[in-house]
Amino acid sequence: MKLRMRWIRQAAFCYIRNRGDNLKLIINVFGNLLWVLSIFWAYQKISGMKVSQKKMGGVVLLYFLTLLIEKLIHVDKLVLYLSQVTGIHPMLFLGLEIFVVCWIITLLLFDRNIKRSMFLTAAVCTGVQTIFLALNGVVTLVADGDRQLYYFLNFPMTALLLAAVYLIVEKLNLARLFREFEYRNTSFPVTLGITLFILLGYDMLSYLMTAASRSIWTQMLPCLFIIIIFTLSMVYLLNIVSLKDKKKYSDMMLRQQELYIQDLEKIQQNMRVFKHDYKNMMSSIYLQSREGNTEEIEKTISRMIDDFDEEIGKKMNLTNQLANIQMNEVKSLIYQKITIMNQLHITLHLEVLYPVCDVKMNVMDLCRVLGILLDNAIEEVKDQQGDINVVLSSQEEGLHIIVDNQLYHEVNMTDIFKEGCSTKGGQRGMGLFSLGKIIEKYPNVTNAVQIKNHRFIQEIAILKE
Amino acid sequence: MLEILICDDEQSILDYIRTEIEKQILIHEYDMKVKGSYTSPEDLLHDLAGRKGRQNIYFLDVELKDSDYDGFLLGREIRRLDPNGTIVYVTSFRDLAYKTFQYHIEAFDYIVKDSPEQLSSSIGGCLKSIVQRLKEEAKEASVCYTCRSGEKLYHIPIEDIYYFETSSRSHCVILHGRNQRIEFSGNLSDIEQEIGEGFLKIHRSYLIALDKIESIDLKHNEVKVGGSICAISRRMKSHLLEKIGQ
Repeated sequence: MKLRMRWIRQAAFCYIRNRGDNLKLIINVFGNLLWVLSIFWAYQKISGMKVSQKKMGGVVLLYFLTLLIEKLIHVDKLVLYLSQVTGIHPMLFLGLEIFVVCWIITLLLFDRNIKRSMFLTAAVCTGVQTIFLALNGVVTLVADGDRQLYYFLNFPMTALLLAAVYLIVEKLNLARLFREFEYRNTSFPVTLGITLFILLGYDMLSYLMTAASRSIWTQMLPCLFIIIIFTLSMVYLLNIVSLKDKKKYSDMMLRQQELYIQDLEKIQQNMRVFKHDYKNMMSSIYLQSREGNTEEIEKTISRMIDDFDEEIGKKMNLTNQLANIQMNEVKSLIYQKITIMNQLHITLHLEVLYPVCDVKMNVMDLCRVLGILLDNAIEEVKDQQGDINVVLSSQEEGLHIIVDNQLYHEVNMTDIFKEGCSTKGGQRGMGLFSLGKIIEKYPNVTNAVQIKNHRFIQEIAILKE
Repeated sequence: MLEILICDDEQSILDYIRTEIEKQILIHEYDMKVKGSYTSPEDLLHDLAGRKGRQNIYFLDVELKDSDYDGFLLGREIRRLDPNGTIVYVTSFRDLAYKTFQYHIEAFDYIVKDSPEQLSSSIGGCLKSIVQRLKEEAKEASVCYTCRSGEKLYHIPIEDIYYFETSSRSHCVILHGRNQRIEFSGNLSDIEQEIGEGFLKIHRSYLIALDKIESIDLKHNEVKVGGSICAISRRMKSHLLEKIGQ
């Protein structure tokens, strides 16, 4: 940007002499604007937000505002002053300047979370700037001092820049990698450290390139080298992450199928036993009907119905409800929790009235949310062998999830959502706080918690909007 | 006079339920009458739409074999037309997915039509509970604040509400109550107007219940409501002190 600033100022002087340069000023400004926009497009894509036209418009406004401010308060003089005071080379401040401007825009428009916005803005800014440096180096060399040619080459260069950003973000699936990084929940000091490392690394690079003589080696190769290393490591990481996903998925499927088979076998066994009882009961009904003993007949029939319900009806009902869950990941998760509940002698009442096929939410996030809700419920009732109700109601407007359980102790509504709160002690207190963070990402997902009649009721609605 | 409407697609069961209900009304001298019994959901809805139903009682079959309305959808539609009505479900299955009905339709109860005696006693018990519940509701009359979140209406007694806070999501507000924490879309200024006296918007992000204030820290411009800290904007500080003084 410093390079550009110099060009802009020089262009401004030229304006007085030659109107034609006005055009170049505009081209410069808009060229810059395009790659600033690409920074924010990349930011939104990677952090999983929906790309919003309004916010991009806001970026444009703020960008022009920043240009104005820069001109007015002569930022480059400020930089020189700061470098004199601190003894650090001025080039190091320039990379920071872009980062700071982008970070402020991010905090204002996109993301209020300091840790996430800091790291991601630094990474994206540095990435885009590195690509820009590489391309700019090439163009400068080719133009070889010819200013007209330099400006002309800016068009394809900007196009290449935008294409490169798009390809890297989409093809390397950076959004998925970033999600993985988020779940590790790195602490603030560590994130700060990584951010500073990225920024300083970039600063070093750009300093080396401008300070050294202009040859293809110092201009283009360092950047290309970094870009290649980056791409390769991202591809490698992505592979590991998708393998992890695949393994988790197939483990879940296997587990679920094992349990399913076990349940079916149990039902079949019970059916066999029931068949014998049924034949006996039918014989006695036959005899009773011959004797005209309707009272006895009624009793026998009623007992038969009871027995069936008790032995088979309940189990069949559970598998029926589960069958309505057509998302395998969710089905597996609930199966796992059912096993845990059986071991702890917790009664589960599951209702899935209508088929649950598809939700407007990432399936892994949905499973995490359900997992947290069920774990909390299990934790609460396990010592008292209480009961848990789980309802998955798929309606026209979306999917409603309700988990409610008996409450055995006093609960403070505000405390339970705070980070680090837990009745268990130690590291386990991330439950409802993590839940809030996951839901935060989705504008179509709402959460309501109530306590009624000593029951703790959690409701989550995933709307189709 | 409470009016009762019954719907079951099997005529014999429909008649049986009607007779039972009328028997119970006679025995216990309830102030009710059976307004109509229908085998088709559309007929019931048609009748209901025509008049302004006021707190009727409905006995609905869960396993309706109608193409447009099963028991659940019929219940939802009735709930829309008669928000204060009492809905009772009649089912052949003991394992009714009852919670789902309760959540979406706020059904009062469900009755199993296993055997005739059981059905009669269930109907009897049900009507008794309904009469009792209506008596209690008449006495209670606690004022509630209603908010809508995820297609569901929540009625929170105002005396349970501690404060409202803007959520990190845009255009959303969180209600913090003694037993509640509900996020819904809305904005604090509108809520302040709606909810009236007793609440004050002390900050861009906080609307608090004045009678739930535990402590005020004037130096740091904070107020403690329901165990949480809410900030006070400089502008509203004097207003707040004024209101408390009253």
